Amino acid sequence: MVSDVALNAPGKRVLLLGNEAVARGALEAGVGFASGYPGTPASEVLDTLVEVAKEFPGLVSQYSVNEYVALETAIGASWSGVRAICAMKMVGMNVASDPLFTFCYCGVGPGGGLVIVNGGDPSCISSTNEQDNRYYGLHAHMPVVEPSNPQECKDFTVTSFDISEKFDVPVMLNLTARTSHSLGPVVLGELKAPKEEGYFVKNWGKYFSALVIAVANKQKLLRNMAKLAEDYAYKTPLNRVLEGSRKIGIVTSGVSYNYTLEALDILKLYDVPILKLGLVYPLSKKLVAEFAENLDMIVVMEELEGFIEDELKKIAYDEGLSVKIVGKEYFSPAGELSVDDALTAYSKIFGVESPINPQELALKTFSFSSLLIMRTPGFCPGCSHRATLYAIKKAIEGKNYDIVWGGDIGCYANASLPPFNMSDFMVCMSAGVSIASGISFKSKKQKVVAFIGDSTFFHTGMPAVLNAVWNNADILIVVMDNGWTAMTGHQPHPGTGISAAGKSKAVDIAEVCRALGVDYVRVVDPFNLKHAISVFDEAFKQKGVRVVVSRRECVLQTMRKMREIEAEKKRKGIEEFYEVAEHICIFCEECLKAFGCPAIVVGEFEGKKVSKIDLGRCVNCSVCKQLCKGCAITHTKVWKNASIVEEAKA
Amino acid sequence: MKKVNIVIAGVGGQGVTTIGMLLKYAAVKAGIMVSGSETRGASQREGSVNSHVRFGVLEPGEEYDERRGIHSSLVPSGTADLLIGFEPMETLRNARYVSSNGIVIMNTYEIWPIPVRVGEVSYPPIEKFVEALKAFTPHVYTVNANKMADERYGGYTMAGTILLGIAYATGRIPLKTHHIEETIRERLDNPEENIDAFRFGYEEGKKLFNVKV
Ligand code: SF4
Ligand code: SF4
Repeated sequence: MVSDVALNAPGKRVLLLGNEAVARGALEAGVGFASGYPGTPASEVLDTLVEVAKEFPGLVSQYSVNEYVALETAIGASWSGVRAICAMKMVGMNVASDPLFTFCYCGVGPGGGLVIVNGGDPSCISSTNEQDNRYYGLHAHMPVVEPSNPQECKDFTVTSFDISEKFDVPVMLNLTARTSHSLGPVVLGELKAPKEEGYFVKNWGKYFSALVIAVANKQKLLRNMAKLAEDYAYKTPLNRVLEGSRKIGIVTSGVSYNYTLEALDILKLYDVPILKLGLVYPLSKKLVAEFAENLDMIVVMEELEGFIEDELKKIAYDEGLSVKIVGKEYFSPAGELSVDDALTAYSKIFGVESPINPQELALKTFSFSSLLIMRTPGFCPGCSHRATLYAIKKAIEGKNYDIVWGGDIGCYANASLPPFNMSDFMVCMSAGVSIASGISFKSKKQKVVAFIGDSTFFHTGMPAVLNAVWNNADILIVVMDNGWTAMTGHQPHPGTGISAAGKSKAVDIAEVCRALGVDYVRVVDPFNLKHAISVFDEAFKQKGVRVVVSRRECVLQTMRKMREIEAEKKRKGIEEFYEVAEHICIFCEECLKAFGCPAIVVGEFEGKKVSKIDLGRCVNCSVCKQLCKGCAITHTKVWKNASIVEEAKA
Repeated sequence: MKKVNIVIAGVGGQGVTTIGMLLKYAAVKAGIMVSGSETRGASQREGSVNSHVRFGVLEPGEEYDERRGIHSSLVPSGTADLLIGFEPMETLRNARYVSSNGIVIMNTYEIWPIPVRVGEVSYPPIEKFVEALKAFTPHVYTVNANKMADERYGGYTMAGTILLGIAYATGRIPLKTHHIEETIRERLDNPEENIDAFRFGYEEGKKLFNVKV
């Protein structure tokens, strides 16, 4: 809740999402600049800071077109001596990695600590891979801090800024989807006013990274990291030891710590020594050695790769520790972990029987699996993307084209699912266009289509389109323009005419495409089916790079705006709905199977099957009426209130 | 510490997250420990979603002990006191969470997955779900909250709050009605109608459990 995030009430206990707590932590650290690109699970960090920016006059919050732009802008703020935060999901870190490595050499500006929030996604709940970004810490020489719950999300953010300034290096705050989206109590601290004005103090030897200067900067960085590892990492309260008398200890961090405590409670094991790491990289040799002193074995519970496990093993070797270190033997590097995993592993390791048998319960559910039909998310009722795909499908019907479909990241990734099955690959943002171009250069017999969204177009799509034009690719690019960065929560982008700060210049995608050298650019409204079909038909017949911008605002946003209008209609007793005239419906199933609006279900009329519109879910988009083969779908508007009818007549 | 675990399951767009959040905010009002997590992000419309709610209530005279507190934001399997299912198939999909003494409240309003809608498979009859759920706990109740909502409010939007009211009647939610109602007032659009729906659900729930228990 945004108002709670901005509350000037130290000591008050409020409930925050992990991501909101990070934003609160940044405010308590006096953050003056915030940037990022929306990506689940990290989106709410910047969303929150954007929302509260009005209440913090010194804070500048910006959505950026992509992550490297976001990081570079934040570096500028940091070098001006202003604390900055930059949020992205883990794959975004790949985009930002170019400036990241050099930035670690240069370090932050004086008083300009910089925290990079990384949203990781074990189990790929909303991502295309699971990459473990703690390795960016190892690779770029950047400290990695990992909180376990919302309270720590807030507290550790503040500490991360301190570390960043103290050791002249950006700090990565590593969250996973489960931390980002868990809701928990947070005791608020003091807010700190952001520095309103910064100043870039020239320091050529620090900021101009090349040749010997770069090497010297690297040496400075390594010295700082060594100091951090020896001294700070040993003492910091980010790391904690829970004492215990057993010979087997546990080292863990993040959500795995929560699962560990929960499982040990269920197993009634209260005497296991636990080292809970908040500073995951670099580790203190001394701390590890002391923890391992009386232990025969250390079990490392962590999600994804065995990052901590490997670091511990290095330390154990260097320090000559005789302790046995295990981890990935018990915890899979693929997918999210859970209390169940912890229970299974610890009951085996400590030889105690668990009162709950997760495997058995899973098996029990599995035995009913024939009842559990897989449920894939799909387009909302009234979604413009469904209409766009349907129009394309109709345009190619009966044409015997051999088509390769290039998918991309966004709501339209659902194109890969039935009833459309129109994505043959999906890799990363805007890769649809570039990979499709590559295919078109080598596979001449196939027609190649690339889908891209509006936000993705601005993210990295423009250079991809330019490259396609420049090298004369033969592709049809369909820009699915629903007007928002919709999948992550309707953040604005350069096409919206809004920035995080308010009204802004709206950039037109069709114009940009023309400027990039695309000769064939068309704009269609997918809710005008007939026109859209004819344009796609034409576009398929052309050669070279063709762009069709299919434009219709995201239905969720439209509905939000319609709420007032709907309430007014309700008050006046006006009712509007689409309905299937059951006696006319020939049950060709076009609306049901080919189009697949979730508001259309199978019903029965006089003993035969008919289509039926679920009025509770229909949003009156009109598309089914346009495509109904039997002309069975009707649009009705009634005035229930007689006086309104009189009014209308008069 | 007495831990109370609740899992709410359904389909994206049904308000599963909203009801979960409501319970968590109400717990802060009541001054009890709370933690939880929910499916977020991507376009979850029509996809499976759930919300985990965990309460921690100190027994009289008990001091907080970290090692006995609630930590995981996810409910461990086999420990949910209450499973509130907004949709039959999703209720069963989350059955593993319910404890052997837990209560399941299953809304019978079906939302068909794509393979059912396109006619590849058919949606199993509700009795099958009930039967399967009974392998986990004997306390399984079915209601049609969507129908109730439609009859009373002319639409489905209140179905979630009605279900919450029904669930509240089980007595497993360690909150006072005023905690919930105040939270509805603060956090939901259309609070008066939602409070009415909650109270209505509560009354319906009382009838339901009196008949069956
Ligand atoms: S008008 Fe037709 S296509 Fe549009 S939401 Fe309603 S049922 Fe679906
Ligand atoms: S498209 Fe028209 S005729 Fe065909 S099933 Fe749907 S409502 Fe019936």
